Amino acid sequence: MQEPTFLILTALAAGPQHGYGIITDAGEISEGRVRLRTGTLYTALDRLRGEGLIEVDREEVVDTRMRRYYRITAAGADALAAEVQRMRRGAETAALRLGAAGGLA
Amino acid sequence: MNGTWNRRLLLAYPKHHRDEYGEEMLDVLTECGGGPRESADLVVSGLRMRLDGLGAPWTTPEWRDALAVVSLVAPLLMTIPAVWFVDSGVRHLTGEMTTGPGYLSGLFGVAPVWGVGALALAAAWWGGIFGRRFGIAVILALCVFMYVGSDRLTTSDAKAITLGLVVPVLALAGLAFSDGPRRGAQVLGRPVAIAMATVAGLSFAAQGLAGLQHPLHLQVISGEMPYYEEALVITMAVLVLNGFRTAYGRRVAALLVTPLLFDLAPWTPVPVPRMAAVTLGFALVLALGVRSRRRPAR
Repeated sequence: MQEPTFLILTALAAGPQHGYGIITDAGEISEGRVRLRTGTLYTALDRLRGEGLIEVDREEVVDTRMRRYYRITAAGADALAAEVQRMRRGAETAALRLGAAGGLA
Repeated sequence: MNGTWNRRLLLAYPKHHRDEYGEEMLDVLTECGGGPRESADLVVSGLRMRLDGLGAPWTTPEWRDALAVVSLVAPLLMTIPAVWFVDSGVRHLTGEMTTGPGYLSGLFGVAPVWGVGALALAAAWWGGIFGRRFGIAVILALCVFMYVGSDRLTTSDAKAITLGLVVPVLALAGLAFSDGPRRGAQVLGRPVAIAMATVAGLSFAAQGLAGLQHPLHLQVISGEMPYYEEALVITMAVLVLNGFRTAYGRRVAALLVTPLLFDLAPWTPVPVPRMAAVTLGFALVLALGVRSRRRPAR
């Protein structure tokens, strides 16, 4: 799973969000390391909708601007959970090896 | 950086994407504040989506299945003239036949001609059975060699060389853009695969063992070379048994029938430019393939 996808699904795992909200949330999740750009975000959103991992939750008009909220689907939650497991296994292996080498307290 | 500028940048995206997300993206761009990185990302993402869109029809499950079937059928098509060539060559060397094998008589002694064909055939089978990457690499190298590696191959007989190239290129596409011949056999189903192999075997037996080089008397199409005839037999078998009922079947038919269009000359009162035949072939592929409906899930 590519990092933008991971960040978007993680952002939506907490609840429905609109585009700009996803961008700011992704920045917080990555501790400021990743700044999702608008083009990247909407390319990913379009793909994730096509794959059935997210869907439109609702649309609202705020200050004459249309805001569309997206939410994660059950399939998206499963994909994210599988990715989390994969990352956890990788992290545990790395920690074990570092510990064996005396590199991790 | 204002709204007008961003709206222009959005033109990098396909229209359907702009219709769906355009206004929303403009609002988000305004909230983000724009900037050169946002602009660059917008253009790159849009162009990438356009490129992906170009390749999309060929990455659909129907096309992948069709190419998987082609990766199964192409080595078979390559085998038939190869065995025929060896058979005719042996008969020629033993004096049973006065000339060499068909149109290749003039090239019979030219090792690169049949050597490349034999290697491509071996690579196609190898790629299907053992490892697609190796098969793809070898066939690709051989196709390049056939195009540029020998003057004799590229100038002696355009029709013959086209014939010699079309099927390896189809085999290459089948190996590169599908899940391979095992998937092809799975897609066809056992009854169709067995029927196709039987038809091809019987056709070959009639041709090779009984000495009937053109069992269907389709020399008007095939000239001295029986490939077209064999291709017709196998293609028609696939079509009749399974083809027109499925989306992938129509695509397989389009891919296998297209080579026939390289040899339209006998059917038309005026010479048909090669480019016109190729264009017609692609049109047939698109008409049969892209417009086909999705195969219902089993």
